[in-house]
Order: sequence, then structure tokens, then C-alpha cells
Amino acid sequence: MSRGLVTGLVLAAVLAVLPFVWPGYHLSLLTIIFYWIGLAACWNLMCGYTGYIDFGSAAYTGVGAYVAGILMIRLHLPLAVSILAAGMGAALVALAVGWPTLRLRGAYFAIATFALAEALKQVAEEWASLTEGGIGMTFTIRLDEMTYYWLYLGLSGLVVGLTWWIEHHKHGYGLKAIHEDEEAAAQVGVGTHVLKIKTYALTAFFIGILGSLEANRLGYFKPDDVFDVHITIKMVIMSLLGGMGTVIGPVFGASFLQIIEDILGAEFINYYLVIVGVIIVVVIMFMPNGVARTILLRFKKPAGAEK
Amino acid sequence: MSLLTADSVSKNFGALNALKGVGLSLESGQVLGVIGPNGSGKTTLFNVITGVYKADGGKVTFEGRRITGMATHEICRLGLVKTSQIAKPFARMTVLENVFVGGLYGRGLSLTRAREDAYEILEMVGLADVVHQPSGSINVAMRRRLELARALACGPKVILLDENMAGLTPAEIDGALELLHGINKNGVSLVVVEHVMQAVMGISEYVIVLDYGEKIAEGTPDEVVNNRRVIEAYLGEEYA
Repeated sequence: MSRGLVTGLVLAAVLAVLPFVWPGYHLSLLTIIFYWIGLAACWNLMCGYTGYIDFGSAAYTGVGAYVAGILMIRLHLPLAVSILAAGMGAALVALAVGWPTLRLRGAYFAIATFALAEALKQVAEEWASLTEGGIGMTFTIRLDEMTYYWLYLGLSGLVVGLTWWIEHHKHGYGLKAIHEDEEAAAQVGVGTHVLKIKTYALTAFFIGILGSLEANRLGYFKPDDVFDVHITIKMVIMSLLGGMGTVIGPVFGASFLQIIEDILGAEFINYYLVIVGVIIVVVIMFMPNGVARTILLRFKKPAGAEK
Repeated sequence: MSLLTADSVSKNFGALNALKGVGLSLESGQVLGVIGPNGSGKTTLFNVITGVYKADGGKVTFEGRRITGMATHEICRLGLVKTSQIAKPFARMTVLENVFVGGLYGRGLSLTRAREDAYEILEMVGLADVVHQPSGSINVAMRRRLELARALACGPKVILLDENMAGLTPAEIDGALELLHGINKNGVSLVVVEHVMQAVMGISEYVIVLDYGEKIAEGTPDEVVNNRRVIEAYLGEEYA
């Protein structure tokens, strides 16, 4: 374990100074990669572990962006306060939504959350006196590019670290038991409903923070941008590619997809979505557990090796 | 005072009255058998007692406390635990982890304690050789034992066993009965729903018989097998 910790710290240090070595274009690519690692890790922590598929995670990037936007632009509150409030706003929405919908199994939960994100987008469009509607909002105060990188690095590290911690503690076993068989989980004392809601709100908190930071980084946003269903789809695909329900899966999936998108998007503007689609299909066909898990299983010692 | 009582419990599924005012009472240390033909409401009764289904009428008390309307996991933590008719291991977890979850949540043990506890229980039920195997890969007899081990990990005062011996060979049933006797001797009261007559009669001190959601007979195993209504329910009127 201590060796893992040392490796982690060294890795963190290298990643933290990377922008000095590699400024400019690469910085923005790295920034985006860590933004997506953060989002995918949140999605994975809830959905990968419990098996509840959230198809409306963009609701929380959207709520985060609007909470921060309204607080900063209209009320002139400081950035740090607004970002934190964005996370809490997203978590509150998740609590309110999770309470009824997390009783729904399978596809119903996915449909309910999908509808939620679309509904919130409409609210943001229509409530123009508060949100400027389709015109969008513009931030006047921003941070410098390097800071966004560090924030995303820190946040994604935090969520991945949290996933690792949960995986090895009581909550992780509870979440996995829910995934396997919810009724059986309740029979051995797992308070399934509350555990799901807590996890959902926790991940929404981080999605809200990430969403608000990204809106702020880009400087301008409108409902279509921050409630975009593609945000959700990317989170799902990244988790799926890397391996749902694994600590490292979303890190791998997000980096991979974002780099592929970057390379192919520049070289083959017209075909890159097709190529990405083919890659996804191939991975799902040949590595249904995700790339990370497939690789891990190959190197894993035989059964019973756990310490 | 009885450890567990169900008082005129009823449950409807639409127009079907699955339970029509069924009662039972379990004393501390007792083994109670519940028998009845298919569809007589045995599993439904267990599900109502453990909060999987909401009762439409009647009440259930455990240690003198009303538990009707409580959630399954809360009832489990009080010490009233059910095993499922269809063994439901957490298939992608190891055998050890399955039992471990029971200790963590059912008894609220620490990670270390729950792990030690799980090893002990698996030793006791005879699964020591497969602790690190994925629970999806073990055979039916082992799954039944795992189901029992997971219930034991919750630190139960009462275990409700829903056809825990279904699908086992006679030799395996003997082994399972011996295990249940041992568990009962350690102070855990049992309510046993079983199709296998040999099994339920061999272990129960008292038996209740359900048919179409009603209790049609109760008594010692001997009394029950000679009861006219019981024979009717199982074999038809002409044999009674």
C-alpha cells in the first residue's frame, strides 16, 4: 500500500508541474482531459458501482453552471463561494430527484433522469429574468488557464481517490451488493435506498462543481451547452470504455476518448465520430468489462490473493 | 412472551388474497415449521414479516416491538433475518465478501472484525475451502449454505429459512439438518418453510399448515400429518 501511495504522490507531483513543461495547446488538452476524468469518475462512482444508469447527469453540470453564474454575475459573490454553492445546489437537486427515482429499477431510472435534464434545460431557457434564457450568461471574472488545470487535476484526483477509498470500505461493499441483488442486500441489513441517495448526491456535488468551473473557464454558457445530453453520453461512454465499477476505469476511458477525439477531430473532421463509434463497438464486443478491468484481470493473481 | 408473533396478517395482490389473516408465534429457542402446498402463501408470509411486502392487515411483533411497516434492512439489524427461496448470492463477489457484507451492515462490525467473523462462519457451515471463489461459481448445495452463512453474519436471533433445502439430495439434506440443529443449539430460533417433508418434520417442534392463504392446521409434527384437512390439502379429498 505505501508503495502505491508513493507512486500516487510522485504521479501527482509530475502532473502538477506538467503545465510548465508543456504550456499552450497541450495545457488546454490536459485541462479538458482532467475535467472529463472528474466527470466520468463521478458517473462511475454512482452508476458503475450500483448499476443504476443515470442518463441525465448533465442536469448537474447545468445546475452547477447556473448556480455559479447567477451568484457571480447577478449577486457579485466571489468565485470560490459560487463554485461551492454550485456543488451544493447540484447535490440538493440530486437529493430531491433521487428520493423518488432511486426506487425505480433499471430503464425507468435512466428515463426519469434523462427527462429531468431536458426539463431543467427548458426551465433555464424560459426563466429568462433569472438566467437570460437562450441568450446565455457571460462571466466577467475568470481564473488563469493554469489554475483551471490544477483545479481539475485536484478534483479528479479527489473523486478517483474517494472511489478507491469507498471500494475498500463498508460503503463500497454495500454499493456492490446493491448492484448484484438489491433485495438480498436489504436482507443482510444494507439500507439500500439511503445508501444510493447519499452516493448520488455526493457525485452530483462534484459534477456541479466541475460543471460550474468549466462554464467559468469557457467564459460564456447557455442552456444548450451546460444541459447538453452529449455531456451525459460522454460520461457513460468513458466509464463503459474504461470499465464500470472500477477505480481506474474512468481515468483510462476519459483519457483515451478525449485524446482520440482530439487527434481524430483534427485529422478527420468528417469521419471522426464514425471512427470513435467503431472503437466503442469493438471495445464493447471484445472487452465487455471495459479495458481497465480486462487488463487488470490479466495481471491479477489467482483467487484468494487479497492480502 | 413470544419472540416473534404474527397476528392475523393479510396480504392481497390485486384480487388474489395471498394471506387471509394468518398468525404464528415463535418462542425463544424454538424451531417452527411452516408447510403447505405450492401457492399457499408461505413465502408471502415471510416477505410480509421481513418487510419485503407491506401487509394489508394485521401486525407483526419482534421481541415485543411492533415491526409492521419497518424496512427489511432495519428488521435485519434487529436480529430477524430471512434467507431467500432462490439463493441469491452476490455473484461477482467472493464467498467471503458475501458473508462479510452481512457482518458490516447487519451487525455493524468493523472491516477487520467482519472479516474474521466471516471466516469463522464459513468454517462452521463447511465452506472454508471456497472462501475466495466468486460466489457465482459454487454449486447449489454450497449456495444454500452460503445463504445461511450470510444470514448468520447478521447476528440473528431468528432466521426465517425459505426452502433452504430445496433441490438438495437426501444426503445433503441430512447435512443441512445437522447444521440447522447446531445453529439452533447456539440459541438462534428458526422458522423453516420447506417442501421436503422429511426435512421440516425432522427438525420442527411445532408446525403450522397453510393452504390458499389460510392456516388450516397446527400442532406437533405427528398431529399435523394425521390431520384430515392437511391430507385433503396435499392429496385431495378422496384420500382423507
